[in-house]
Amino acid sequence: MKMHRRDLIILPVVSLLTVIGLWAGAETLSRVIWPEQDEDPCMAFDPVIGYHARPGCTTLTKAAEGPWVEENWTSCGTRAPAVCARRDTHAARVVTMGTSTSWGSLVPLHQTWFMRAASELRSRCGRGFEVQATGGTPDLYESAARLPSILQLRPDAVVMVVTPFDLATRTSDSFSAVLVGNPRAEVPTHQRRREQLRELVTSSRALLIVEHLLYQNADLYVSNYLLGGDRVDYLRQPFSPTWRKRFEFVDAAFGYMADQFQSAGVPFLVILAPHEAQAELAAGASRPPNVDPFALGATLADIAARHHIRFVDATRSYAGVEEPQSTYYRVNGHFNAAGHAILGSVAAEALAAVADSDGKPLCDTEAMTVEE
Amino acid sequence: MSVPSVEFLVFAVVGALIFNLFRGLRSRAWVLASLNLAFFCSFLHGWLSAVPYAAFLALGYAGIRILRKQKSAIVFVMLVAAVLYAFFLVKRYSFIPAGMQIAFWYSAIGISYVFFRVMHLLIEVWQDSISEPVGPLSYFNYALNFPALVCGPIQRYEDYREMEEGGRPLALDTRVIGKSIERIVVGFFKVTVVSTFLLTWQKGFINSLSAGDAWSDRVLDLALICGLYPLYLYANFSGYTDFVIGVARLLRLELPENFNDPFSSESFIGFWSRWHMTLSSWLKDYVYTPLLMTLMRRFTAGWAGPYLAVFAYFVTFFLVGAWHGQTTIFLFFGVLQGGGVAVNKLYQVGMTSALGARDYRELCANPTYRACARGLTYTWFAFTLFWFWSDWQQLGRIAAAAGVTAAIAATAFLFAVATALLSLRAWLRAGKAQMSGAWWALAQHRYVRTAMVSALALFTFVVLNVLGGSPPDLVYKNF
Repeated sequence: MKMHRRDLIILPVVSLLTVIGLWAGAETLSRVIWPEQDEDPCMAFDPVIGYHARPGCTTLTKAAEGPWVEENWTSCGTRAPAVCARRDTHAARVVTMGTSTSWGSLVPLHQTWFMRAASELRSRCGRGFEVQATGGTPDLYESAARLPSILQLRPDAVVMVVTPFDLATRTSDSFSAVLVGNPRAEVPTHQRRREQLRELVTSSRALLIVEHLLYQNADLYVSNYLLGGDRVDYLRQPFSPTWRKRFEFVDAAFGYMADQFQSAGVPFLVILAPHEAQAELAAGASRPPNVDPFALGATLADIAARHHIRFVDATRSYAGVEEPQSTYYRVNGHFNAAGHAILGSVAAEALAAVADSDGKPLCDTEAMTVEE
Repeated sequence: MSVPSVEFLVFAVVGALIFNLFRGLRSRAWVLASLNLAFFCSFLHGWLSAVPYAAFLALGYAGIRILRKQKSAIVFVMLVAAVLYAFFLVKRYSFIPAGMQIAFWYSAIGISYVFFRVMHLLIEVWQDSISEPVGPLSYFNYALNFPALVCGPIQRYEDYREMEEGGRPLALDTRVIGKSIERIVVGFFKVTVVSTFLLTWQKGFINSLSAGDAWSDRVLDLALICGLYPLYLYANFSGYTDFVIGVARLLRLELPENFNDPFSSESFIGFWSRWHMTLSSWLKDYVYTPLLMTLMRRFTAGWAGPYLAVFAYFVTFFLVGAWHGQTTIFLFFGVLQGGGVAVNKLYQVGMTSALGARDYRELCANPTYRACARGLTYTWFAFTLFWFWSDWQQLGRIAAAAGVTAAIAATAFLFAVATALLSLRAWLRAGKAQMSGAWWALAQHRYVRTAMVSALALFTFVVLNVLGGSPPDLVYKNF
C-alpha cells in the first residue's frame, strides 16, 4: 500500500487518539468495576498528631481490592464497639496506637485484629477484654505526641503496631523528646506539587488492576519490590548507613514512649506487622543473596528489650503460610481480614503474657473471678 | 543491558541513526562494530571479565585462518575439538573439573549462539563453501552481532555477508521503518505482557495444586500447569525474536526467522522444523545429515535406511534438548525430545509399511486425524517441558500433589482441549484466508495497523511500568 506525505501527520494522530481512547476507556471501566473510597470525611489533620478521626463520625471506606467497610468512631475518636468514656471495671482495656493497621483500616470492625484478639483473650482468660483503637500515625513523632490522649483512656495495656513504612517516615534526623508536640514542618510547595503529580499518575485504577493481576505471582512481586531502593533496604543485610541511623531514631523514640508508659504503670507492647513482600519472603519465596525478612524484627527486638518493651515480630507467623498474598490487599498494601486474623492471634498470644506494673498478668483468671 | 528493554531500544535506535548517517559500506561496518562492542561491554565488570570471551573469539578466528591455508582433516578435527572445549570451559559446564574452571567472574552472554556461528564458519571454510576470505571486521560483526547476541537467531555467514558488503545492502524507507516498528512493538508486547501474564497464571496453578484438593481441581490445575507453559515459552522467545528482527532491520540487516507457526504442526518432527528453526536447522546440517550419511555408508542394506534415520533423529534432537542445560534434568529433556522425534519417525515408517504410502498419505490428510495429530504434538511438547522448567524436586512435589490418576486424566484433558482449540484456530485461519477482499484490505490498512500497534504499545508501557521498568527475563538467555 502506498504511503502519502499526509500519513506523516495522520499516522501519529491515529496513534495518539488510540492511546487516549484506550486509556480513558480502561480507566472508566475499571473505576466502575473496582470502585474505591479512599477519601475519608471522618479524618481530620492536625500538624502535631497527624490524621485522627473526628469523634462520633461514621463513614464508608473501600479499597479497590476490598469490600465496603463502615467505620464508626466513638466520642473519643477511637474505633471500638463499646463506649469509650465509661470503663467496664470487669474488663481489661487495651488501647491500640500506631499505623493505620492499628485501627483496622479498610476492614470491618468485627474482623479487625484487635477485635479478634479481644475475643480470643476473652475465651482464653475467662475475663472481659475491650479495645479502643487509635492509629493512623505512620510517624513516631506523631505517635509520641498522642501519648497523653492515649493515657486519658485509662488503658490496662497499650499495643503499638509498626510497619517498615513507619520506620522510614520522618526518621532521617535524630529523635528529640523536646520536639514531641511540635507541629510537622510544612512540606515545600514544589515537593507537594510533585507528590500530587505523582499521585495523579499512580492513582490510575486501570494500572491498579494490572498490578493486582500481575502481583499474584509472588516471585514477580517480591523481585519488583526489591527494586525499591532505600525504602526496602531494611530487608538487606548488612543494613545501610541510612537504616542504621533510622534505628537510632527508633531507639530514642521507643525509649521516650516506654518512659511515659512506665511512669503511668501501663504495659506497652509493640508488634511489627510485616510488609507483604516481607511476609512472602518469610513464607518461603525465593530469597536473593543478603535478603533477610527477619533482620528488621531482630533489630527492633533488641531495641525494645533495652527499654523493657514487650515486642513481637508478626513476620515469624508467616513462616509456612501457603499464600501470604491472600492476607493483604495486594496493591493497596493494607492487611485484609485474613491478615488481621494472623495479627489477631499474634496479639492475643502476646497480650496473654503481659503483666501490669504490679506484676499481675492481664490474663489473670483468678483475679477476675474474685472481682466478679 | 537487557533485551528487550527501553534502554536497549534507545541504544539500537540511536545506533541505527548513526549507522544510516554513513553512506559507505565500510564506514557502516565500523559503526556496527562499535555498536557490537559497546553492547557487549554493557555486560562487563572490568576488562578481565572480557578475556575468556575474547579468547574464544580469537581462537575461532585463528581456526578459520588456519583452515583457509591447511585443508587437513586432522587439523580440522583438532580445531573443532579446541573450539568445543573452549565453549564448554567458557560456558562452565559441570563436567569440566573444578580445577580447570576459570576462577574469576566473566561474561558469557550469548556464548552458545556465538559458538554456533563460529562452528558454522569453521565447517563451511573447511568445506570450501565460503569462497572469499573472512576478514576480521566481518568475523567480529557476524559473531558478535548485537541484536542477535543474547539469544540468537543463528544466522548463516553467507546470508549476513550478502547484506554487509558483498551483495545488495537492504533498502530502508518509511514503509520498512513502519514495519520494523510494528515488529518491535509486537515483540515487546509478547515478552512483556503475554509471557508475563501466562507465567503468572502458570505459577498460580503450581501454587494452588495440593494433594488435599478435589480430584477434578487437581486435574484442571495440572492440565493448566502443563498446557500454559508452551504458550509462555513461545510468547517469550518469539517475542524476543520479533523484537530483534525489527531492531536489526533498522540497521539494514535481515535476521532469519526462528518460528513458523509451531503449534499448527501435525507431527513432532514437523514441530521441530517450525520451533527454534535456526537451531534445529543448524543441528540438521551439522549433526543429522553428516551422521546419517556416515551411518548409511557403513550400513548399506536398503531396509536399514529408515531405521538409521530414526537413530540420527534421536541423536540430533537429544542434543537439542541436552544443549539447554548442564544438569541431569536437561539430559532427560534431551531423551524426551530425541525419543519424541525418533518414535514419530518409527511410526511414519511403520504406518507406511502397514498401510502403503498412498493410504498413509490419505490418512494424514483426514481432518480428524490432522486435528488429533496437532493436539498430540502440543500435548507431548507440553509434557516434555516439565523437564525444562522445573527440577527433580519440584517434579516430585507436583507428582505427589497430583497423584497418578489425576496426572493421566490431566494429560487426556489437555489433549482434548489442545485438539479442540488448535482445530478452532486452524478453522479461523482458513476463514481468514477466505475473508472478502474489502475486509482483509481494511484489516491490513496502515491506519488500522497503526491503531493496533499503538494499543499494544500502550499495554506494554503499562505492564512495563508495573514491572518497575524491567521486562521479564528471557528464558533462552540462560542457554
